[in-house]
Amino acid sequence: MEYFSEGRGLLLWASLLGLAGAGFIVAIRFSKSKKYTGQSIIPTLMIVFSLLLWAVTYSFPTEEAGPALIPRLWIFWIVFLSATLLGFCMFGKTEKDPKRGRIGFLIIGIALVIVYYYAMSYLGYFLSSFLFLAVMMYMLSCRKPLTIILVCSGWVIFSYLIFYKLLYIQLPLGFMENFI
Amino acid sequence: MDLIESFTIGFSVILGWKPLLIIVTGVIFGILAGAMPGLSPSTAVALLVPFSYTMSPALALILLTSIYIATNYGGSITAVLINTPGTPSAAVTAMDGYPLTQQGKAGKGLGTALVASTIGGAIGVAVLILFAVPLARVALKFSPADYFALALFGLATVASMSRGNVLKSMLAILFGLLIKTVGIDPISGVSRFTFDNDLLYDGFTLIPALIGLFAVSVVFAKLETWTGVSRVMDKIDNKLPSMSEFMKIKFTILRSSIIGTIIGIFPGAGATIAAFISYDMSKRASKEAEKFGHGSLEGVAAAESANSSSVGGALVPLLALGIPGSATDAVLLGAFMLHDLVPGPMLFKNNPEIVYGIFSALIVANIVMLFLGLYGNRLFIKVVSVPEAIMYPLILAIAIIGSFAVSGSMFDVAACIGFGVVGWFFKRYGFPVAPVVLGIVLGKMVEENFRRAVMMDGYGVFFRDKLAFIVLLVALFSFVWPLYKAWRQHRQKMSPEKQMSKT
Repeated sequence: MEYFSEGRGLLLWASLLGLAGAGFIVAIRFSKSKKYTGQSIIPTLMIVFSLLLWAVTYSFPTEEAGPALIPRLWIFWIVFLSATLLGFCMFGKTEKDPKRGRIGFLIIGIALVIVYYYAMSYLGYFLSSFLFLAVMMYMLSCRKPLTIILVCSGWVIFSYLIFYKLLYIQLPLGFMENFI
Repeated sequence: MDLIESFTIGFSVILGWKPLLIIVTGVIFGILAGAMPGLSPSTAVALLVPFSYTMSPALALILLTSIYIATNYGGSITAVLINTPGTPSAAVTAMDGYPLTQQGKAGKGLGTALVASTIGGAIGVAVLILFAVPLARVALKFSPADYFALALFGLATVASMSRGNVLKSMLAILFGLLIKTVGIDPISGVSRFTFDNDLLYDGFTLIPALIGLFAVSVVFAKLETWTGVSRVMDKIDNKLPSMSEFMKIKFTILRSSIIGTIIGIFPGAGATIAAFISYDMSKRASKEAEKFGHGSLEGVAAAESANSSSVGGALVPLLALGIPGSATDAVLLGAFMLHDLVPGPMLFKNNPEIVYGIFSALIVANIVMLFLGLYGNRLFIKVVSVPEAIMYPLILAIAIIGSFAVSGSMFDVAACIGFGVVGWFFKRYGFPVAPVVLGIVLGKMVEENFRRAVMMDGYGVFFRDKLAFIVLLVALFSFVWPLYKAWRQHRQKMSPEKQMSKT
């Protein structure tokens, strides 16, 4: 197992686990238990990541009550409980998948947050927050320009006074570093 | 140090314009956050932890506990007025509160909720003071094996008392525990699961993880079910219940407060279970049981006094042993850690001003809540009517700046967003997120005490140490019992079907 704990061995182990996990989900999707595909994703991911970390524990020093003991204990139980849950999914003994909501809308929302995260480094916290709030509010059907401007400016002023001036938190300023 | 001397220290911490302003601010924020559907007490406290970063530890904890106590009352406002519980425990309040609004008696519903919350909160605090101090004294003698057993007991009861699937709760706890193993090993100093990334050497910072799991995931879940329709609040009457009406419900308030406090002490039980149980018991004991569910003041009082008193109860294990009993307590524990404090018996010994400052602040916060509720309800209702299209983007903005503020690291912001996605995914498939947080919070305590106990006395210590052995047995029972009950119910359900198929 030590070969899989670092470097190329670990990469190979990760690829094998990834393929096995993906294969299992696909198999569930096209089986009689397809109503439980979503329910089986979390236990499958848990098993994949736990087994990946299990291999990594072989790079830790071996000693009684050493650093590998507790992670292995948690991993053992995670794999055991996840396998039990997967068994329930395969035999239809658990809740069915919830109805699909507005996944596209959610993905746009998450993407906006990620763009906001990267924009902070370039545009600075204040400008990127203003833009993020404005776009997000517009996306959530707030169509009054005055409300949008007031809320966004209000937040920027509030965060400037409280976080930047009062709490001395060095917020990322991006290209505005020379102006503030 | 006797109790009077300790309280003199406690009140000296909060008597001043700054601490009093902080208590009033905390109560106002708590009521507003509690009243906003989707913002649970844990979310509200988690969002405000970064704001307390530069305050003194005593003031920071006074602010957060004031928020905690007020959110439970805040939850009743929207439960009574628009049948939308602001907090999960207020769902019980809505069962009688909303029918009162439909009958044009919203003021009576809100007034009863306010008085019951205040009295319940006060009783909870009294029990907290009575129990936490002696428990902390006893806890000074605990060994690492005892602490390990107690922490495991806390986790086991959290899993067994979770609503829904016990296996999923257990898995969520283990996920949190495993996450906590990332970083430098606290005993040997070996780096674990860091993949040579410097940013992971200290593991995941607790506060961004909490904000992600509690606050960001709520917004993501809301986006998935977004309809664009905002709630509407009607104008309400402001007529409070009469003195004779209060006198009729005094025993209900007293009984429910005691039930709520006792339930609150048990890890994992929390305000919602307390509210449900005391509502049920009050209904059984009531002379007007038929009115329950149709606008009974007793029903509102039972639910509200129980959920508010559970706050004091839940703080007992947190302050005396360092074991959080609920999700909000886990966030509070995170706040303690942020200020380099470790709740438990040593806190009573080394920082009595903080412990008694919190006790005193809780007493004052209850009184402030009563006055603000009596005179500020109309204003709160207006503020709570803020459209969701404004509220949710602002929650994200607060979450992002809050997670950055803890240590000025963009990695923490990325972790917060990542945990937000994980939290949404967990919630979507019925995995509770509070156990993940409890796992992260208790992970270090469990691991350190387990390994210390084994290094000192070998694995047999858990059989030789009587307290540890008994607590571990109880933990095992509290985990296995619900599983056995679920299995029996499943078999009972299946057996008639089998008989039918045979015939």
